[in-house]
Amino acid sequence: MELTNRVRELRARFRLSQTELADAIDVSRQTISLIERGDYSPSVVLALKMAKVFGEPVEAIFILDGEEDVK
Amino acid sequence: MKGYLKLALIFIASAGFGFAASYIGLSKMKNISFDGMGFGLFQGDAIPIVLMIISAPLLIASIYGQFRSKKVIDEERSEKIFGNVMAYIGFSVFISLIAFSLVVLHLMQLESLGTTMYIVAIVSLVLFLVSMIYQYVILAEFNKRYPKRTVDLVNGTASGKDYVEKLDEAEKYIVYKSSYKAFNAQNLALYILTIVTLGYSMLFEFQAFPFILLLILFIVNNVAYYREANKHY
Repeated sequence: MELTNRVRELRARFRLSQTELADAIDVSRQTISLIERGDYSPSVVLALKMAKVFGEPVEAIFILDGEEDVK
Repeated sequence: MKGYLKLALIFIASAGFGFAASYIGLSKMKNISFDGMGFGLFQGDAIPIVLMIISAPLLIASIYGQFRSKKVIDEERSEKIFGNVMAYIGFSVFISLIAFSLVVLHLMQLESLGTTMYIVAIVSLVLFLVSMIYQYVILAEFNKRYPKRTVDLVNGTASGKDYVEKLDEAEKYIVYKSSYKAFNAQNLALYILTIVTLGYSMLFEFQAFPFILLLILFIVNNVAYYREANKHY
């Protein structure tokens, strides 16, 4: 199963640059870039921080492909 | 299987190239004069010149890259260029140092080096000093760009555990991934070089010292890796 995310989409909706989002959750811009590209799956802490910034639940930002198969 | 085949092909191609170069070189030795042309560890060996020629463009590329990284508006692209600059200047420092060291080694063995060799010595020393100073400038800029993860300006990026501790989780992941790749590449290089130097020591009148040195490096590399890995099981 692959983890996809809506970070880029939500960031655009909130008109935030990668640097601004990075500053808001206290990480580097590279980390945001890696997450957006799907090269890195963030920790629970980081995912929760992002969820707080976007005002969305974590599972609405990070989606596990084939999630319906998980019992 | 594909990897082994590739390795075998590299071995065969290298052996063939080495044999051909030595054969052609030896057959033409009579017509070539090496007076004043002792370029490396052997007469006519142009290794320091080649290294000097490689080092100079690397230094120029890093200077150009640094200016370019400042001009590029896209932050991601600018950081990528700056990352390349750091790699280039690191290579330039080491390559120019090796070039200069080889000339000094030759100087210790021969009484006179010839004009060409003195020029190589001076140019490689200048390249080394300029690269060293420029590396300091680059590292200072790195600290300015990334104040949260500054590097020690004296030790460079190899300031050890402290630097890694300053990184966030994704950056740590990249460092671990890169380190593992570097470990594998280093292991492969040491493995091949150990076999080659052992072969040379056995077949020709080469000293066994390089073989022992490489073997120690191979052992240290692996012991350090597995000792650390075992702590986490």
